[in-house]
Amino acid sequence: MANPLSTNSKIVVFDSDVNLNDANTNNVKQGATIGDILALSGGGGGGGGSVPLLVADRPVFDASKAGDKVYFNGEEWIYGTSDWLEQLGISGLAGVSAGYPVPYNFTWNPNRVTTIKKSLLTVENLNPASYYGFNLSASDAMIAAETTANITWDFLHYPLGAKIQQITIQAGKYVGPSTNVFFPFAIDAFEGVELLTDLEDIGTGVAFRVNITGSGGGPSAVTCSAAAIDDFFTKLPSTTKTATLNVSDFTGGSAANASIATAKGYTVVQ
Amino acid sequence: MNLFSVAINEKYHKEALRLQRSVPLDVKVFTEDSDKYKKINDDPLINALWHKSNFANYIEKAKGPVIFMDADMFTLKEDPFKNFKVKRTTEMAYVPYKGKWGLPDQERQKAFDFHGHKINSGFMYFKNLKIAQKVCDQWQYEYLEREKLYDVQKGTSKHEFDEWALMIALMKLGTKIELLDGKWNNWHLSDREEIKNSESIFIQSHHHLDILD
Repeated sequence: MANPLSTNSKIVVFDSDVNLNDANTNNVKQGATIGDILALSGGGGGGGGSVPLLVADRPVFDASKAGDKVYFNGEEWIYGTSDWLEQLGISGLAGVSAGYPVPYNFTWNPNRVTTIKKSLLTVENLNPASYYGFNLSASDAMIAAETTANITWDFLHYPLGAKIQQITIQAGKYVGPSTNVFFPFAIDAFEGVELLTDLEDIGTGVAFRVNITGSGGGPSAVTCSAAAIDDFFTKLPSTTKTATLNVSDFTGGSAANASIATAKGYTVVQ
Repeated sequence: MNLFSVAINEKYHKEALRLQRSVPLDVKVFTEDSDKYKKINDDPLINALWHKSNFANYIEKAKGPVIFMDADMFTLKEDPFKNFKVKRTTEMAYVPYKGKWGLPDQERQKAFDFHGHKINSGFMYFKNLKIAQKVCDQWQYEYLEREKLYDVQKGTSKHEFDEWALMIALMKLGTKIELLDGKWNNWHLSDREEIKNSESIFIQSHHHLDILD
């Protein structure tokens, strides 16, 4: 079987009456590599018929790219323009301005989304090892990350991210139909944190925590570095709510810099 | 040993009944039906927690230690206090929360730094009624002082509950404290099987009324 196209593969255009078995004749009129064509889309614009760049890393804020589009992880993303972000209803948030990347089909709008009072985030079907998304389970449901991989929790990937009030990360426990299976995943980073404007303690439930209380055989902590937690704190918007971030069950929790979050109004347990 | 709880509002009445049924000793429960009850705040949560902070002042006589338990506690042990021990010099004992706490306001941070832990007020031992009343006198005062500061725009609200006020009160009293093992108040469990298999002596259900029938 032939190799798939690469950026060095050439596209050639023939006259309509050319013999397709005679590709080396002078009937070949022009040629360009896939890389040449992809490069055409990198200069801005983003809309219309240009082909978005394929990127390996999750897009991050870049004001100079406002309006550009890229393909990441099988999905089209756009570095939002001011108007675009305003239409989505997220333009007023700290850290969200022209150049803030969102999935192109991102449709969150605070006027249309019902607040989620309590949800557990889940990462499912992880393949390959690096996955950038989660599903929102039904309210109050508890589903776990089914992976042994290193993952990035991306609160942006699904359009309800900004209205989440409570986040519980289940420490690698999956309650199967007849038995418990444990998936000791590690969290490398958090993304889309800027949109977590509604984190709040509700009753005795804290805004953000790791749940390691599962019975028998589960991990005692979730692997997540102090640097990743600090980055999470840094990206969080300031709050006037009573919101507790309990990072004590992250491996890097005790070494994290709580003052980054307490200065924004959060209570931190580490 | 004198066991005491406070249950203001219907939900806590039901939970206090569960507590009374699960503990094979007399548990006295203060409710709105008491002659000493007076509404202190229009907010049901603030009102209920203030009465908790003042609980010892509703006890007229008690010989020996006083133990306060939140209404939503219960036990599955036949003789829960069989192995309960504190030092002779201990005036008050409780289960601390684990972890280091960082707070958005200086007053609570000062209280945490003073104690080195956050107090859980769900299960508390007092050497005698006099000490319990002395703590409650200060605790209820500090609770009302904290309530004056509640301002959602400043990140302080009723959801800081009663425990920070207790920590502030104990800073000023110099009470001799002993920390108890977590088995005396396990507030983490919410799964029926996990509770049944737990070695913990007291469980706190935190709003899961149906946690055990």
